[in-house]
Amino acid sequence: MTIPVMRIPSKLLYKNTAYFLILPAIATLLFVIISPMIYSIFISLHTWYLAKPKVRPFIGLKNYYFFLFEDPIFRVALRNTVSLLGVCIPVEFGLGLLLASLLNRKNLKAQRFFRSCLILPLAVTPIVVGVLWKFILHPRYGILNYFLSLLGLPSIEWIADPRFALVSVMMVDIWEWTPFMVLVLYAGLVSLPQAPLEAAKIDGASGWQEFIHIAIPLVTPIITVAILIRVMDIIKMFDIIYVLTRGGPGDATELLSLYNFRIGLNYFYIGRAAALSWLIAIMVIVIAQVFLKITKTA
Amino acid sequence: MKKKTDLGVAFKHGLVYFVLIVATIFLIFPLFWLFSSALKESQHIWLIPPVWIFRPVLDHFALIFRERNFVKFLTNSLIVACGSTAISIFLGSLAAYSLARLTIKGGKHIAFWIISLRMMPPIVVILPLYLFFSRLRLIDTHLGLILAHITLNLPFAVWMLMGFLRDVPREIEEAALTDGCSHIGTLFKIMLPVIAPGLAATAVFCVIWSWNDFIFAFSLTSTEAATLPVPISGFLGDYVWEWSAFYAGGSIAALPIILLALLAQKYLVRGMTFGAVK
Repeated sequence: MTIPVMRIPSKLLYKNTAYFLILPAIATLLFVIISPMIYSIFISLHTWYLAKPKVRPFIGLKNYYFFLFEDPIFRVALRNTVSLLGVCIPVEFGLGLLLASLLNRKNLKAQRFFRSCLILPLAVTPIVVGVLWKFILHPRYGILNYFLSLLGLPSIEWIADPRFALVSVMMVDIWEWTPFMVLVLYAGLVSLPQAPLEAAKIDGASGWQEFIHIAIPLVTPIITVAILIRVMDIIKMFDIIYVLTRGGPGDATELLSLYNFRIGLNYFYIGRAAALSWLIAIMVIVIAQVFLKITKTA
Repeated sequence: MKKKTDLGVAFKHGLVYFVLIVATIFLIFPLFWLFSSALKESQHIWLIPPVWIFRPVLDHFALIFRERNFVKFLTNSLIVACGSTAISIFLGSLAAYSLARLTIKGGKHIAFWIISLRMMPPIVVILPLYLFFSRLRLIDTHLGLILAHITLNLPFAVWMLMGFLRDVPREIEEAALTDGCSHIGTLFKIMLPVIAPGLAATAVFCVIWSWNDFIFAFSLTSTEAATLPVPISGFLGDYVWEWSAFYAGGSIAALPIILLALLAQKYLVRGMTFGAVK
């Protein structure tokens, strides 16, 4: 008992161990997350331009009002984010479910090998994914257009062409995150209770019927969890889009988080940026609450 | 009739493998392209049609280490990842034990509040942290970036370790407590050793989040404390793209994480879904 901390009257310590143990973590979180968050709300209520640090009038909710009702770029960014959600999530879910159910077949050989390969992209540093795909998509020296030419298809100016820029982003997101769906859905399918599946088989259900009517409903909570995580990630998406298109050409791939970053740390309109960051946070918080409700019951 | 169904089965079987192999190629090819391009000679890197068979050279790796300061960036990545992981795991295991096993007022609410923090968009804390750190001279320092990464890792560690600690049978803990061990003693001597694999997996995830982070590092560091993603994004300049430097640098950033993920494969689902799927 030479450590000074231990000299706290032992009765007091024993009774309150729970609080002593949690205190350091709570204090750290207060310092690194909570106080910045509160300060950020304060910032968002002012006209706050870093190049003019002396003048920062209080303007109430005007920054929020600006984005919600006046700013055309916010609307474009929101629309692009919604398109990403609308395309990426169904495709990733569909492909993920297909691959997970194929992996789950009982007599599949080299199952471990396939599983390891199918989940690899999700571990790769996102910024590396972004730059790598930018090279792969290069119109002249990129490998993708070379493969297209082998199939007799014309080459495409993937990122420079406004019609294909957002498609390119979707493609990269699908490449990186379909493995996440495979991983999670496979885990769900493997852990299914065998009894209902066998009962269905005895009742003469085909493999397909069994899958749709028994397996899918049983893994629904897991499916929901996986989809909600992806929705939050896409709303927050930054790394890949920053190196891949930087929102261009024009505003073809402008996204909320990218726009937010630019206003704040490129143009230094901190007040506006803080307000936008809270609008994004509100969307994410709503989804996170649903996620936690499901987690609680799952 | 029987023959027909046999053929059908064989066809179905073939189709399964065909789909899996196509998917594998599609998912693995870009990574193969990254690693193989890093080993090509400079004059081969751009060639279209590409050279598929070549003598590997390590020139580009030598270049980025010698001329692009990659020793420093790699060290920064290691320092920041290990620092933020060590702090998060230490504080996280204390808090997780308290929340998982001891009675604490509103414990459930605290736990959900902590994991909600992990899901916040980073930009919400980055803007004020940027202002704070400018004041405190923490911009472009290891300590600053470690603190920033704790915002990712500490909530995650608390939540994950809570799950692992809950899985430990109560009897093990009670035996130690009746033997006169304090709660803190029980945690360090009994509980943490029991959940050692879970502890390791949580640490691996913390290292991955920190190593892979771009937005915090890009906003809060510039040259001295920058981690690998920052110089890697810099290879894509406004006028010049440094293909060979990127392939080498990108391989160095990607490879350790791929290996770690394969190592922690058993816990991958649990980590990626914040413990929601076990």
